Amino acid sequence: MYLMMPQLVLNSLITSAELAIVGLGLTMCFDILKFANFAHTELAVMGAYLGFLFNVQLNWSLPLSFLLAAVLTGLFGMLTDRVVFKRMREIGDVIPMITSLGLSIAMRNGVRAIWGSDIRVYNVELSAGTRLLGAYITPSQIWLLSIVFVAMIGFHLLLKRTKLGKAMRATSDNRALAEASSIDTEKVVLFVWFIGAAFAGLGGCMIGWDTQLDPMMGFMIVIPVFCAVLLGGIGNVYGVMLGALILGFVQNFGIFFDFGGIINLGGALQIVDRLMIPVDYKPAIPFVILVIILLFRPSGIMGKQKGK
Amino acid sequence: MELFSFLHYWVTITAIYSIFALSLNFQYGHGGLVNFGQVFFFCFGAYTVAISANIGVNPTVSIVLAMGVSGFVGYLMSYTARNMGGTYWGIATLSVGEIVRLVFLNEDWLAGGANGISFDVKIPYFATLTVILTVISFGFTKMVMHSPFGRVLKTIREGDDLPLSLGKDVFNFKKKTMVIGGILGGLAGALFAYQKQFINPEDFFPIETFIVWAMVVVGGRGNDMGTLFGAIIVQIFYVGTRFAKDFLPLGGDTLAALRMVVIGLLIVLIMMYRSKGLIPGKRRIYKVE
Repeated sequence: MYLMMPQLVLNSLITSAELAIVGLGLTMCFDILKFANFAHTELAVMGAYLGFLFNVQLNWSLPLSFLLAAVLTGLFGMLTDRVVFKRMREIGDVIPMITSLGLSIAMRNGVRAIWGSDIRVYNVELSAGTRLLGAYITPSQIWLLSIVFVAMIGFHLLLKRTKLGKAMRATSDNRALAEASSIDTEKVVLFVWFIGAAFAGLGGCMIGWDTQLDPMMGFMIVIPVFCAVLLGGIGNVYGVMLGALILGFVQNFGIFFDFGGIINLGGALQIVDRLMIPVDYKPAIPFVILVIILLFRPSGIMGKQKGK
Repeated sequence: MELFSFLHYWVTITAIYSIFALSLNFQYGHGGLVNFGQVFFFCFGAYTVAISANIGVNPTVSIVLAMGVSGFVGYLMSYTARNMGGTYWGIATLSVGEIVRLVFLNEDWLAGGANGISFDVKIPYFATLTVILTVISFGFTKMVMHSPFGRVLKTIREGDDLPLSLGKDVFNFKKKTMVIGGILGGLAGALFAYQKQFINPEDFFPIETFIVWAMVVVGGRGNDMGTLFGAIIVQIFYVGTRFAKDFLPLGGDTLAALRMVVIGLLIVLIMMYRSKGLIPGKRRIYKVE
């Protein structure tokens, strides 16, 4: 395990970066609009396939394709809010949640109907990994980590240094009060949708670039993304980054951890030999963590007390 | 003859899904519990039947056993509803449903893992039996909803505060709701297994839960008649589109995807314009003298 350590750290970081960039929009929408948007990760799928359309089908360059895909996904996010969710602002959290579930089914299968169920890849040359501190890293992974890092810094600056960011924080804190201070909260909501959806779309492109494109990938990451969001506490944009980081590491290291050590109290007892999570259950790790958080600490570990 | 065998299949599958939809409607429509993991009842019911049929248990006993197991699962799950409401519980149940599926997928010794499990026990007059059981389930939920228990349940759906102020043990009611929903879901799963004679973890993807959700929201939440109507509509559509490939120049996969696009949009449109469903549940008005 010690030999694999650098590689595991790198893999964890990549998983975390992907979860964080997709989760950012989810946590903001969840906070301001007060409902769980199950269609959010489908925006990532949409972005990834739009990237495929531009990059492979139209043969444009990769950066241009990703940028366009992110912007178009952002616009699509705004559109879903205008057309579907705007009329549901005042009727509680269950109906918009069920709606988003229907939307996610429609979007996932829409992608499947247009581009087919086959696995696709972007038009990039496969390049050998470079060795970095004992781990193999591909150029696409270096790009992925840097782009997500820059996006996070950019978002932080937007939130803390601009007037719009201030309006966003005010709206998230207390919507009625923000409106009373003549902030156009509907405009803020639209902007939150745009940036959240655009980040998700960009994240989808990144996932597709690092691995492959699959119409089901939105569904595969929906629970891990929700898990990162709830770990960090809903509405806490730094919390979701931390949550993604924790989940990324737990998911990658969890299957290498020997729980026998804990049960035997570090060698004091000899109850079990070795107790490890089987590799087949790796996808179940976020599910289990999610249920545990929801049961015991629904406000997340960063504890922005909003709860039920 | 082909038409007859098709109708036979359609009636059976619609009846099975009607029971499944009644089970969700009982929890969500009547009790207000947003269960996104409904498929785990179906899953436990089906696997109980498959495993017990393989060791030679007679069909009646295995179906009762399936209902018992799913009811017990509902009882266990209800404990997660103790301090979790609406959205959070929905997300949690979705995860639990996937965990259950992953266990059946990876534990080969239990029920064949990814290869699934088959058995060769046929029930005579199966289609008739499913229809009769649907009618019985329908009558049963109707009866429960007209009992004092049902009336309290309706107030719980609108929020915990009113029943609490009347001194009702809300958690206890939710527990019973989950058990009844589990029993009905287990029955549907058991019949599903007998209909297919072969089940594997792929039958229990979360999409099954969402199809049943479509049935309940299309029909009208809190209305059992509406739920049956929703089940029939969605099933006509679901099974009927298989014939569309005969006269549409599209591949099977594209058509399957388009079918799900329509089901998804159906949920969205109903929620946008008729969030109470096509046949909304009637509010009974009690006259106070």
